[in-house]
Amino acid sequence: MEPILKVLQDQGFEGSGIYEILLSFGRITDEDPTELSALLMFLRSIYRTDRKFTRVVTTHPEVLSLIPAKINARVNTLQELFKSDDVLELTIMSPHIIFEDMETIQEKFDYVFHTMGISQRQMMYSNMFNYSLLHIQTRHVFLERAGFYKKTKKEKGEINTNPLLQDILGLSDKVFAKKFGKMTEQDYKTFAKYFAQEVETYME
Amino acid sequence: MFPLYMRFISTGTVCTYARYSCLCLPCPCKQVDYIQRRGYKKKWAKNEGSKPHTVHALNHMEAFYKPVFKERWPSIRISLLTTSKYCALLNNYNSENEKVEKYLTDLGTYNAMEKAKLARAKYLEKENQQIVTEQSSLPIESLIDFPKRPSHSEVDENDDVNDDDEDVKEDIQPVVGKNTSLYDFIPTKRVYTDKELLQQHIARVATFDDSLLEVPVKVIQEQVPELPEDLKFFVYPKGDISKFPNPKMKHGNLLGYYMMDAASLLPVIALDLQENDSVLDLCAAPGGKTLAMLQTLKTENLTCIDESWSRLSRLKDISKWYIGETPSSMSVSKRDGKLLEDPFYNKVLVDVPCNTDRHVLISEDNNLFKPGRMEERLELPKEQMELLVAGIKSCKPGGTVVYSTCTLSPAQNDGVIHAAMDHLWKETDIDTVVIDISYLRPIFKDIFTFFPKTKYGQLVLPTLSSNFGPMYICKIKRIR
Repeated sequence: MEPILKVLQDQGFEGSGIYEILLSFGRITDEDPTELSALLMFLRSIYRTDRKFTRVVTTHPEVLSLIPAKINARVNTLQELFKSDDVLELTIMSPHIIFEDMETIQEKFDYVFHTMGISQRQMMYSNMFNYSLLHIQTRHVFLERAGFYKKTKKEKGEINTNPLLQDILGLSDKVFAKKFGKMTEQDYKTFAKYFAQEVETYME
Repeated sequence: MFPLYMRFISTGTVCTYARYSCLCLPCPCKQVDYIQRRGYKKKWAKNEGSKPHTVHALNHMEAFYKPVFKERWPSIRISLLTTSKYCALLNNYNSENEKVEKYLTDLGTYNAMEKAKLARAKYLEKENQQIVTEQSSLPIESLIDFPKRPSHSEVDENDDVNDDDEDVKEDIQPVVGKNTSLYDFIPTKRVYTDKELLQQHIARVATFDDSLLEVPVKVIQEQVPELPEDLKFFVYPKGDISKFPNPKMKHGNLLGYYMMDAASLLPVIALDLQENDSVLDLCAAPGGKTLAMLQTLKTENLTCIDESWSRLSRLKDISKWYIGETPSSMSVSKRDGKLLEDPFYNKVLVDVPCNTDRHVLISEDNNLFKPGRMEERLELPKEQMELLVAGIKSCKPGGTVVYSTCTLSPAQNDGVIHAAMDHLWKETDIDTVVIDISYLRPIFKDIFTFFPKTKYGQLVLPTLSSNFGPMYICKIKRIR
C-alpha cells in the first residue's frame, strides 16, 4: 500500500484524488509500484497537459490496470476511425474506450457513421461513446419515424437539415420529446419500450 | 419472390442454379446470347429501383395529412409507424366470463368501460344537464328549418320542339358585330401532361374543401346517452406496452375475449343500441365491430352484409368461436351495400373501406398504394359516399346512422359526410342532421386522444402512450 501511495503522490495526485482512485479501483494496491510508475509516466506523455492526465486517471482509474503496449494498440485501432488529435480528445471525454470491448466501439461507430450518415466532426462534440448503442438507436429511430431525420445523400446535393448529434444524444428525455414533436416524456419512454421489444424480436 | 431471369453464361450450357439455393425450380439450361441480370443491383441500375408501396403511402400522408394536423403530425406519424395497442373485448356469451374478467384484471389491465362510466357521471354533473324525458313534446322537425332545395326544372315535350327552331335561328346570326373579345379565341396557354392531370386529380380527391359544396349541414346536440352496460373492454394503462396472451378456451366453452383496437368500439358506443332495435351493419366483415354490437346484448335483430365472400367467412368464424353458432337473430349475407334503399332499420352502422392508414404503412402485400390499385384508391371517397347514402336510405325516419373509417384523411371523413349531405339535399327528399358526439371526448380522455378540429365527427388520433386509432366516427340522424 505504502509504495503505491508514494508513487501516486510523486505523480502529483492530491489526497482527495488518491482517495477517489482507491475507492473506485481498489485493486491498485496489488499493482507493482515500478510498473505503475512507468504506466503513469506513459500516460502523462500521451496527454501532455496535467489537467487532462489527472482527469483521465481520476474518472477512470481502471485505465491503470492496462499495460502501455495495450494502450498503444488501442490508440492505433482508434486512429483508423478518427484523426490522432481527435482520438486523444475522445479518450479524455470517454476514457473507457481505451479498455472497452472494441466490438462495442466499432458497432457504435458503424451505426452513427453508416446508418445515420454523421461525420466524425459531430461525433467529437457529442460524447457518443458514453451512451449505449440502444440509446443511440432509440433516439435515431424516434427522429426518423417522427419525420425529423433523413439520411442525406450529399452526392445528390441534398442539404442536411438534421439535428446535431449532441442534441440527439445529449438532451434529456423530456426535453428531447418536447423539442421533436411536442410529445411527453411518457410518450418517449413508451416508444423506447416498444423499440427495445422490436430489437429483441429482430435478434431472434 | 423469385427472379424472372437467371444469369446464364452466354456460350456454356451449364446452369449455375446451384448457386441460387433458394430456387428449387428445375429449369432447363438455355443458351442465351446475352447475360441477364438477376433482380435489381444498385451499382448496375440505370434508374433507382422503385420505392416500396409503404414508402409511397407515407409520402402521400406527408403531402396530404401533414398540412391538416400541423404540429400534431410528428406524434401521429411515429405512432402509426410503431406497434399498435390492443384491448380485450370481453365475451359475454362465454359461460365463465367472470373468471375471464378476473384473469384479465390480474394481468394488470382495467375495465375501461367502468372508468368511462365514472367520467360520464362527472361530466354530466359538471354540465348540469337536466334529464329530459324521452318523449319530448315538440317533434324535432319543428325545431329545425331545413333550407329550400334547389328546384328541378321539368321539361315538357312540346318545349323541346320549339327550342330546336329557336336554336336554328340563333346559329344563322353572324358573330361579327357582337361584343367579342379577341381573347375568346386564343388557344390554351398551357396543356397539362397526363401525369400533371393525374396529380391534380389525386390532390382533389385527397383534400376536403368545404367551400365547394353548397348544402348547409346542421349539427345538433342531444342529451348524453347512457353507455352500453354490458359492453366491457380491458386495457393496459397508458404507457404500459404489455401484450395480451392469445385467447384460449381455458375458461368456459368459448373464447374469453377478442383482441382489437379499442378505438373501433367507439362507433358501436355512439350507435347507442336499445332493446328492440333493428340493426343493419353495412360492410360488416371481418366482424370486430359486429362482435362488439353482439356484446351489448341488445341485438335481437341484426343484419350483416358485405361484398367479400372471404371476409364474410371470417365473420362467421368469429361468431362460431365467440357465440357458439351464428345466432338466429343475426343474418349474414353477401350483397352490395350501395344498392340498399328500403328503410327497414332504425340503427345503421356504416364502417366503410378506407385508406386503412396503419395497414398501408406496414404491409407491402396488396398495398392500396400500389400502382395497380390506384384507380380503386381514387374512387374511394365516391364509394364511401354511396355507401353512406345507402345506409341513410335504409334507415327509418327517427333512426340513426353511424359512419366510421380508420383513416386520418379529411376527404374520407368530414369530406364524405358533407358530400353525402349534399347529395341527399339535391337528389332526394331525405332530411338529416349530424348529432354532436363530442361528449365522447371527456368521457374517454384517459384512454384516447381526440383531434379537436374536426367538423362533423370525432377523430381518435394515435399517440405513443395510447397507440389506438386512427378512427373517425360521425353520427347522423334521419329526420324525414
